[in-house]
Amino acid sequence: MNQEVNIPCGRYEFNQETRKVVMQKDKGLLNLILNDENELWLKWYNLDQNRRLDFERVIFKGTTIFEKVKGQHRVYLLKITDEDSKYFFWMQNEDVNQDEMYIDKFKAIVDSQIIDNLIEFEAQIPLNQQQPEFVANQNRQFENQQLQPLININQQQLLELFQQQLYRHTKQDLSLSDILTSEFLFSVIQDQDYFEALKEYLPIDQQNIQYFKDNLISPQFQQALDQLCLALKGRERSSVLQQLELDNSILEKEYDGVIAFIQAIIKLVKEENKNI
Amino acid sequence: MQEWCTIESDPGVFTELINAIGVQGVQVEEIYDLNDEQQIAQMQPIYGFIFLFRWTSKGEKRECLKIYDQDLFFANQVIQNACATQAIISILLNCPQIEIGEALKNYKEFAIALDPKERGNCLGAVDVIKTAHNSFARPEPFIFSNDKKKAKEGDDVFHFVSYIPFKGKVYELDGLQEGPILIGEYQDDWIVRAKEAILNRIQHYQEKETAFTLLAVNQCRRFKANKIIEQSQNEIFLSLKTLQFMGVDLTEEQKQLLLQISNQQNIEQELLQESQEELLNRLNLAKNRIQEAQITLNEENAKFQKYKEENSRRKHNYIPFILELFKMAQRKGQLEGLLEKAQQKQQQKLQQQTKK
Repeated sequence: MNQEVNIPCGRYEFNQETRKVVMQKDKGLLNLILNDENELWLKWYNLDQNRRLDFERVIFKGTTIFEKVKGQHRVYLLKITDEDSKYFFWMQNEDVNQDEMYIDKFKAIVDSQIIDNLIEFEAQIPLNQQQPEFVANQNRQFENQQLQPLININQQQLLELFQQQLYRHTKQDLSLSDILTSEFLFSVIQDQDYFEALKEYLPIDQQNIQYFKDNLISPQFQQALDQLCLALKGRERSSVLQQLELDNSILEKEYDGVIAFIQAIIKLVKEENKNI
Repeated sequence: MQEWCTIESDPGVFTELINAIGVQGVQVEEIYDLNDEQQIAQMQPIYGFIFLFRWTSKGEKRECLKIYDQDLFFANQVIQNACATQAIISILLNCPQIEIGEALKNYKEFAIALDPKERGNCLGAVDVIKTAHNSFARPEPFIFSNDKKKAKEGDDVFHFVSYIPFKGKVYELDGLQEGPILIGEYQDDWIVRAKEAILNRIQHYQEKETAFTLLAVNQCRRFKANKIIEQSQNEIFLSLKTLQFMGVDLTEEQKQLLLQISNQQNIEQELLQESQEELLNRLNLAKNRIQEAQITLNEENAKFQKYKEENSRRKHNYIPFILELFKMAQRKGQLEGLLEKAQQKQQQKLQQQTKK
């Protein structure tokens, strides 16, 4: 289920010349969404510039801290600990009392990201000596605080999430329907060998040549194809391959579940041929 | 306790569901145009309408009756995913002309003394109905460790409400409301009254671009056609018998027909008090009705055969079929080529998108 929060806030931008983080006056909206693919997307929209998307990135549970900057009125710091990135925001909602409510919701959504088999490690916040003045001041405050160990992260899971996002970004998104083209299915319909091999897998009252074509072009067949494709693209694609009695170790080298499925079938049939 | 599954909103599914719970002579048909009087006339008698629309959590509150005729059977929907079946049952239980069968009869007798919420609860305990409903669940071929996915905002979840005539009034029965909603009174034709309410609703959803469907629960056309054939054969029989009695020479064809029908019908009936001309006219009309009914019967038989095939496919797990299809493609040396082609096409698409 999508979880989302929109926080009215402005941004600070880092001025290279002055090496200072400067408040931008534009009205903005910070949007955090945890989508169906378990990805945390953070975006900032410039409302004064026609809701222009000025900032977009992925964040992860365990490496994201979002908290009030002490000594500053309504300024909040978003810190990505594993890359030492920092982003400052200033709250713009009318009711000051709502600030913490937004932050709590933000944190709750980040915490909702599912990462299994957690292992602990301590966070280190490397101090960059070339930090802008404002940031350096804040860091001096943090230095004296006792650092809490960060939330646990499984590095394998993180790698998977990165791969997933890279994969989606490059849009190498093959479906099973892309492979079983209508041209191919038309040739299957006319091929007696295919019918002989497949008839026992048809519905029990439709195991004849008359129904072979009807089944291949039926919406139910297409739905099943889509269902399988979805399962192969999901987080449990390894389990899916296992349940189909295919070699799921292929997923160690091939991230795409559909391609892994095809490769597993190719491998299986080649092995069958070897054994004959 | 096994849950109620989501089922497809399809007339063929609902018709088979109704038959599976023991109801006789009833079918469900989709209405594409409520103003198509010919289509409506052909569907008669219509026992009720079911209006399906995409449900949102911001449900509308309607003005419901708190006090209503105690013979009107209204139940709240408390079982998740049962709203289609419940909407159909609402119609069936409020229509005395329908042979509802043992399961529904027993349920009604038991539940009539309960309040609407309890009636809705009890429906879950009627095994025949639940089994029939769940028999249309799409196969779930994979077992995942995660919890079952529940419907969420944006998913296509449909809600079903019924419109029925009952003792001179038209009611809207919505299991999510507190009670029945009175649409209005009617004299001869309840459909005119119901149509106004439904068309208003359609307009409302069209403006919001919300998907909707309208179904009719009506007398099974095959049942009706068979009845017409039976009645017409009876008329032919009487007409010929009377003509014979009057001393009219029957043709060979008429003699054959008389013999054929008298073998089928063994009822002693009074002869008709009509002239030869009237009898011949009656004969022709009856033959025409049989012809038309036969055409309807053939069409309906074909339709029901199609429903049967589609329902069979709905219940079938195609995963082994798909797996074997891919294996065969590899055995035939086609699979690698198919994959390569698909990847190339995808790459071209990606390049075109990047250029844009």
